[in-house]
Amino acid sequence: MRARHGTLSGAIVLLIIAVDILNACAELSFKQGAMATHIHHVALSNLSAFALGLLSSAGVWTGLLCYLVMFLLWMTVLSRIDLSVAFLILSMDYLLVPGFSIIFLKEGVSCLRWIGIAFVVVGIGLTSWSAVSDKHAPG
Amino acid sequence: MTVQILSLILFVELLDTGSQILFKKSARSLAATKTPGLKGVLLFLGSILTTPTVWCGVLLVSCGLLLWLTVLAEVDLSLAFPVGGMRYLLIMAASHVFLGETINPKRLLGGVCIALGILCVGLS
Repeated sequence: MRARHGTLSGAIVLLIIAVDILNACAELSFKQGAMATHIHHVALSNLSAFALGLLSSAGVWTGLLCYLVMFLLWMTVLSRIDLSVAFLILSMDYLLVPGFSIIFLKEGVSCLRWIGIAFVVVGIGLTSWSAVSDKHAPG
Repeated sequence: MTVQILSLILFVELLDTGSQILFKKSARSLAATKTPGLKGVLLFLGSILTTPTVWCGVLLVSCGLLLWLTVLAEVDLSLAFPVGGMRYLLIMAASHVFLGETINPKRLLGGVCIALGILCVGLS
């Protein structure tokens, strides 16, 4: 069954959640790939060593694979719903990524950082919501 | 967060914004060529691959990813990722300047909110 364009069916919501999770996994993998190079400060002098380290790290390839699958799912999502609605739900990544960073990377997220993240999420919500309400406004 | 890292993230997001504008411009010029069926899909794919602006966009994305990885080598993901949210501000501004899209008050308020959030995260 094909959802009508513009409506949010359960399947589409599941797809967007899958995109959210894949995007967060990609960021997590990229971070692990960057850490696997054991280079903490990249300059022109060690750029080639850094690039080689990235190519031989599993994290970068896992991240790229996540991106590829994500791209295919994202295109499916976009063929069914408006970009602004999709972006609104995609803003959940700004909560997922710090969450993953705490759990898998043992990063500490301070109160101020959470407040900042909350502002970013609300801001994305407002910009995407304005696009949604513009589209459905009469006239 | 150092000024150097902040400028690196800004540069990554500028590259990302540039690619988005190029992709959108390419999509606009491609939208005119519509043929139904599998032949249409293949024609569309072919025209994507032969559009120079698409390749410029891909080049910008690739440079952006390499730079992003240099950022991640230095700082926490939970710090870099929210600051990367500045892409929403850049894309909003670039869509206005290069694509003639409008910025309404609600969108502007959202932009201010994002900027405040980035400031908090940057200071944390």
